[in-house]
Amino acid sequence: MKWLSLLLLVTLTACSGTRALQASKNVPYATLEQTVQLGASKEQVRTALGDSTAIRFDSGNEVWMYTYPTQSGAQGEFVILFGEDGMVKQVRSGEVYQAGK
Amino acid sequence: MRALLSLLFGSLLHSTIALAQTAPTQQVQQVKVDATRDPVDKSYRKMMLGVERFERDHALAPQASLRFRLLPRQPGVDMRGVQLRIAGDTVSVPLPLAADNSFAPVRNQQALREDAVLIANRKATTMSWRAQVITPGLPPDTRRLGDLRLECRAGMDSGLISNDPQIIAWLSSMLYSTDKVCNQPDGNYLFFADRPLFGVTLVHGERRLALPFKMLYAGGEQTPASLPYCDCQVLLDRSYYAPLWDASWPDDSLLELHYMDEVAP
Repeated sequence: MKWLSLLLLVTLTACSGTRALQASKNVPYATLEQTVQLGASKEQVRTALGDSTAIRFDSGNEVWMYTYPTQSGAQGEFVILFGEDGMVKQVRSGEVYQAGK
Repeated sequence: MRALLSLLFGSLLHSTIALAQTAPTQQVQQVKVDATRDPVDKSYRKMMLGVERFERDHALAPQASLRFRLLPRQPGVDMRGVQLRIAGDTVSVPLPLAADNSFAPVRNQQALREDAVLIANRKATTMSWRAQVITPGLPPDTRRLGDLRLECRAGMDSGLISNDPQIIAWLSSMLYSTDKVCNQPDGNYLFFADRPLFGVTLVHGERRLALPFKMLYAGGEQTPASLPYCDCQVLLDRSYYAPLWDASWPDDSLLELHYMDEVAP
């Protein structure tokens, strides 16, 4: 049992940290606001802004996130929800809580 | 990390180690629960440790009561008609479930003596569990931070978080104490909303800040390979972390939940 525990812990140490999200792309806010309109398609957004952090769910919904520099110097998040039809369904943006995570 | 631990062990041992359960020899109260091989079960003593933690730390949510809630963990699990009971050598106590599959814990000295288990008529790993602490009278679609802090502590002490094999539970207990999970930024205690989330806003007085993307969807760290070992497997789009550790946000802070199915303004 001890050797198995040791093996597990050593392997864990070697593998610590799970897959990181794809790095988010930093884009000026004006560009984001101009490009991402309700009803726009994923291809339209990707062509205009490039790839960024994204998660696809079993429901078919997909969420993408870009960052942008804010006036205060902090980094804002611009989050886009694509529905099952691949079109922009919701958008939100703003400065976010600075987590230690 | 916890998912990785399970994934690693899962690759070493394909079969799940089921907790041994002695069949009742004398029934004080009979309850019919459809027979299920390898059912979901949890330690009653552990659950009562969670109840004791709730009572000890009740000041975090003084108006709230404690319940536990069953949640789907695997795709396709039917959450209708779930039956739950406390089962010991001689004791069998039904636990009625509310419409949301939550139940109020009951204290039973005989069940404690017999080291009983909570047993459900669903297969192991098909359901997950969470403590549920909700202050009455909150605005719709909000959670109170103090409630979540207490949920984390009671839930961790209850050992209800996952259906890991015993060795994983043992390793986890070495790596993840309640204080570490509930009081540190990398604690990784997941909460679940009732519907898919698009955003969560932290509010206290005039302060309003959205939680960052990395505090939603289990941090975005799940891969198709690791997801089956996360109890967020079918609830990924409802999952979020809360800043339990951040004392600058008091217990009365609210988390406003914004859903994917809301109509854009």
